[in-house]
Amino acid sequence: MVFIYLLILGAVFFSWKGKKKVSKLVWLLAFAAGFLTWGLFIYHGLSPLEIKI
Amino acid sequence: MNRNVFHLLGIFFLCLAVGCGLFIEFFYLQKPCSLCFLQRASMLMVALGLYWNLVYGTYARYYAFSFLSALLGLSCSLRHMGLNVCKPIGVDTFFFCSYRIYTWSFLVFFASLVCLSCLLFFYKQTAPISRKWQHIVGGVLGVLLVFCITSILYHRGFSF
Repeated sequence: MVFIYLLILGAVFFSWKGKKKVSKLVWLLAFAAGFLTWGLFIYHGLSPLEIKI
Repeated sequence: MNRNVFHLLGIFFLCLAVGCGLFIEFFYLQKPCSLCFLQRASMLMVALGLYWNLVYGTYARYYAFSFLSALLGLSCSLRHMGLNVCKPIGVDTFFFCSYRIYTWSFLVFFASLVCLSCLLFFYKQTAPISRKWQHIVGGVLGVLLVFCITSILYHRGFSF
């Protein structure tokens, strides 16, 4: 779970620097965070092991 | 009115929502679950998409990222409501203005989707905001993220 937030923090940090050169890295970090969040939603939210929630 | 004002307002309200969640967690000792963490991450990703509009200028792809994140958060909060709808209300259940926190989260994501749709409907390219404001907004987002990371490490450590 913490990795999602670290990826978002990385994306915020690199966009905070405001350089166009790193915009691809920013996209990569943000999309990795997005995919991980979707994955964890399916794993935690939609799995039959709802007792974990 | 400059379009960036709407972006700033959106980021402000999303940060306020995440900040309120952290406040309730630490001052009312409400332990967040996995879906709560995912909803916070989605809120911050919606804010990140809006932040890109401030830094790089307005583009439809940044709205698309925010839109997808809001959709994810909406799914998480709906699932959260669905899981708890049949549970009896305990004495320690936390309510804010008659609603539980995940219901508020659902309303925030729904409002985000409506506002993003309106911004896309009246789409117009604008220049980036000044560097000073970029740094202030990025700093606020960074501080909130650090608080969220601390909260996760405190409650769950490095587990998924």
